[in-house]
Amino acid sequence: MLQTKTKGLFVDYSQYALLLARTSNFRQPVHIEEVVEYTPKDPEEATEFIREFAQLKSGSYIPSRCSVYPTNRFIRRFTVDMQAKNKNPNYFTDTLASSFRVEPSESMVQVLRGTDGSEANMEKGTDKELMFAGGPSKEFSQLQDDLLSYGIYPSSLELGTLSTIGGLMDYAKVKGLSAPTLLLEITAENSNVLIFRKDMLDVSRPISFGWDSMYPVIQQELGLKDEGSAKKIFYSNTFDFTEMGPKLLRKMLKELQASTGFYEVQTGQTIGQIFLSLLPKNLSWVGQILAKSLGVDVIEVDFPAWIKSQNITFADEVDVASLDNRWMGLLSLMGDYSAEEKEIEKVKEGSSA
Amino acid sequence: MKRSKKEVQPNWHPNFRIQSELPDIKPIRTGFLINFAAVVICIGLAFMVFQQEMKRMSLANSIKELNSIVQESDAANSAALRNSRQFIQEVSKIQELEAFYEAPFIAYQFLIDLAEIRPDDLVYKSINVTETMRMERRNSVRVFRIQINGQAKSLQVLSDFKNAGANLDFIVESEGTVNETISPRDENTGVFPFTLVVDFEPGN
Repeated sequence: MLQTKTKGLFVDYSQYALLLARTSNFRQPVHIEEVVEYTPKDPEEATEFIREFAQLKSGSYIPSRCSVYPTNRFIRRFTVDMQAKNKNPNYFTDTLASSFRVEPSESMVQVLRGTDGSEANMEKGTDKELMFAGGPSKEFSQLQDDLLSYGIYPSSLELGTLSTIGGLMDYAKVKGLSAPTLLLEITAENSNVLIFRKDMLDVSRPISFGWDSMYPVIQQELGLKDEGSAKKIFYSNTFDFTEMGPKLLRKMLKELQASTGFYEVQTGQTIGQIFLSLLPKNLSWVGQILAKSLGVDVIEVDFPAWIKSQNITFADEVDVASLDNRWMGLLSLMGDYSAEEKEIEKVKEGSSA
Repeated sequence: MKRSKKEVQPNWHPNFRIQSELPDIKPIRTGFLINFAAVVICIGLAFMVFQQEMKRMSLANSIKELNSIVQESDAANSAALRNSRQFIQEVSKIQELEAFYEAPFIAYQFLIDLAEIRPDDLVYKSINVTETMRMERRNSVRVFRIQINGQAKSLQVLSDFKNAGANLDFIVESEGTVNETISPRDENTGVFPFTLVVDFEPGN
């Protein structure tokens, strides 16, 4: 039976951990009562832990707003060829299959406006700058099943990459970061390069490798007997990769330089900062090396300053200072990035003042 | 058509939830509600059918019982009907007798009187006594008419007979009127056919 208590639970479920936030409610203003990072070992233990965290009775599913990161998730920017669209009623599915090699029948896809992340009207819309966002249906299904096995009932299941883009765009606005921002999302199997400027997502490019590609280099550099040992060292806090870092990230840097260089030439804009999402805590050196190599700043999110503008507050018990960039996905899930509503709020604030 | 605010997907927050694969977590499951409603309807219908059947059976039993009573009472009823018919016949006789006794004159005395006042040269062919009712100021009044048809040898005889009749006691008492109608003399027999009508109201 569904637990009907009004408290909210936000869940950011990545391959590294479950980040959880218990809040006063689901809608803004949101008051964050407690946050926790949890790595589930088995469903029963996870269910018990999450239920206790959510302060809910046993035997209940916990309604939650969730973000997930399917391995083969995709965000693909494209410009609509209006003439082709008018001629072909299957323009979008054909484009998805032919240009991005995504099988529409096996995927969950949403078409959003590249300008503000809002839902595009595919039939009547005249928007040209759009993006496909989604992932394989099987992966969404598996992640949903995982959450259910932990006693979490997803009242919404979002693509974490998308909400993070929205959150980071909003953060850049709040902090007055006018230069384009590079959002790099590296996971074990692959990576995503996203470049945005103000509300506009300009670049969305997948990179076919992720952390897994670095284990052979570590193995070779440290003379380890297998990649498993290299992986253990990579994720442990025992080894300082600062020196070896540039070598490990050489391949990644090449990809990034190609993307950023092309973007800067095309737009005449210089990328000002980089943000790495989903970065495990012990890999913070990655950001520093990439930023140094690309000549940009690393965004270290100032959560208190940002969430205030989003009408989100922390309870005194929450150690805000300990929240690093990894929490951006979870807190972005709580944000409202509707420009129209914010304008209205501003007008209201202005009139009340 | 403009979509309501509720339907608008928030920016950067598209929902990829697979609703069809989620468990039914409603406090009362839809399936249960449907089954419950179906069971309630079935029970209701069964109850209605049962009620109708009981009513039908009850009516059939009643009809059977009543038929049996009708059959049992048939002989008695026939006898009662015979009695009733007989009673009605007897009643009419009694009523006739009552009317006879309630008449303002004594019948046999009237006949004796008629016999006594009849002149030798006058014969009676018929004597009718009728009783009718007429309304007088919302009250019904009994009216008697004695009609005597006969033949007289001469008009004098008839005139004498009329005077004698008008002087009969009950006619005098009831202030009755005597009128005669005389037909022309019969050429063959030489007598006058006449009708004498006496009207009177008892109690006058």
